[in-house]
Amino acid sequence: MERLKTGSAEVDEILAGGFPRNAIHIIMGAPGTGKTILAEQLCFANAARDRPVLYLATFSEPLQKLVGFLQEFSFAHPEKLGTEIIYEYVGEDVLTSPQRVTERVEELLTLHRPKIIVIDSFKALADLMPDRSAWRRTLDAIAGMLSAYNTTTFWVGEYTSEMISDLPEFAVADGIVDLARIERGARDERFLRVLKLRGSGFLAGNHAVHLSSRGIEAFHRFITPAAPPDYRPVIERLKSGISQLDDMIATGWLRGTATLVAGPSGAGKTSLGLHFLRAGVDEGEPGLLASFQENPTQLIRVMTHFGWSTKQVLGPGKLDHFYTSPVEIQIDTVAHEIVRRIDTHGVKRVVIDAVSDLQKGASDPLRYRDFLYSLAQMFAARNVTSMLLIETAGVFPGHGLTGYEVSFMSDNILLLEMLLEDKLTRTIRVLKSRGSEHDGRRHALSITQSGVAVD
Amino acid sequence: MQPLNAIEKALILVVERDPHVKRLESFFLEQAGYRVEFADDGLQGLERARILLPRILVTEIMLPRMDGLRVCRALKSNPATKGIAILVFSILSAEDRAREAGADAFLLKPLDDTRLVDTVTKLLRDDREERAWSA
Repeated sequence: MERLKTGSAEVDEILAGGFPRNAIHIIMGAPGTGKTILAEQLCFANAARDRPVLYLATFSEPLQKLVGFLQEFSFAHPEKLGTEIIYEYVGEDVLTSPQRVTERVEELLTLHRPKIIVIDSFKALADLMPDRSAWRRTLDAIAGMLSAYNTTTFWVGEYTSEMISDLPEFAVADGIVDLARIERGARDERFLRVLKLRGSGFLAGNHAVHLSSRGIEAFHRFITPAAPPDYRPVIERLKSGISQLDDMIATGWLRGTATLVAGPSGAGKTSLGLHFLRAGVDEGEPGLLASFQENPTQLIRVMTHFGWSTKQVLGPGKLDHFYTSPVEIQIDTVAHEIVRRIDTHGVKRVVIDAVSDLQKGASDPLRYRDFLYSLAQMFAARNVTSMLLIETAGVFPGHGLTGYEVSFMSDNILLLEMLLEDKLTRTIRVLKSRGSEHDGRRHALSITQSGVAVD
Repeated sequence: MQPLNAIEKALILVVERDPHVKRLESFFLEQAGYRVEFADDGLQGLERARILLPRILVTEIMLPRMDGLRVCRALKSNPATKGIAILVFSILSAEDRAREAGADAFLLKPLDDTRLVDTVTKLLRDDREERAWSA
């Protein structure tokens, strides 16, 4: 099946390579969700002088507005307008005689012989029809004519999900891409989802979308890798960065494994993670700290407190710090950035501080659990050793991992607790170390000026 | 590919039931300088071909009353019509079946005006050269 690239490699990946050619596709969504941007982006990505793109603006998308805003995007090359991309305003024809729209489209098709035709907004045409049967006849004629010719058509419209089962254009369309905006507290999240792609597979589900001057960028829903990780044990023991902790696990801390570190705020999780990464840097293993709490300034402060030279620890080939505010987290975007940095820098050790922050960016608990599982599988597939930090609800012992449902995916579990007596005592214990004997007793953990120590 | 002067205004019979394909074929072939006649089904196409003796017959396979491949075989087995060049232009990916039925060329839908006109023009060129060779 021949495909039409969209100008976004990520959107193409979601569409299993792009929109199928010689087909009719609907790009739907509420105003401001990026429909026109996606349509224009794919127009510029496919523009060619011998077979131009024909962009038909109806009255709800005046031509001046379309072309004016278009020039804000880096993908738009104004020199292509009028030759490789031809904008036509059909609003007046539509207003004068809605049922004449088919003739007008045919005139333009035979005149320009376009390889892509966009009608924006297509829904506006239906809204102008005198009745439903008139629209069905017009739709049948337009669809028949567009299907007869070697062109790929996009009907852009402000359709809602409720209209899909009701409006005849959705039965006619070969592909349907829905762009949605969902309010989460004070911020909006944008998603792209493919509802239909006749004769083709696609990545199902909601995929995060960013709109910027570069156009539309998608971050496909993070899923378990298609090829399962190789579970043949790699018997290569790593150092945790705390020698006493290494002594608590007989044969654990193996490369490619995942360790869950759970504890309340202030228990020493981040410090433990930093030691793990620091030990990797000392061994020449690039590390990645993805944090949603410590910003770069705070991180340097912690390192300096431990007496570490930030120059020795941070930088290319050493420790990479990826910081995102917990307020702005969108889990699929975060996952893609983590994967990108792992692949770019050859990262061997990763600390996520904290995966519980990611829960706030997930649409529901089930998605959160699937996401974490996929993340752990991705690390395993790349033989990356990971430490996933989880902030437990309470300060006192007994507030363990209940309710998090993520412990099943980890090879090791460390539980950090804080005992509030006359003085504050931090403790650590190994709850689980898959396939290894371990010391499950509670040990004192102290955070000193030279780092973390375990007794 | 531009039509040769000598083959301009050549008659092409299009056997097609889809009104949109007919309109587009008519537009592009006439614009390229050919005359176009139509038949809506296979039987009518066969009858009109016997009467009109077009230079080229363009036919879909999926047709009412008689499919395009049967039309093709019927024309090619009749000495009076076997000289008509046949282009099977179908939604079915059936190039081999079309060749077996005696078609001279095959194109898969949807309609690409450049490919259609180029193929028709080539068939006319080949036909003209063959006639010149025979003479």
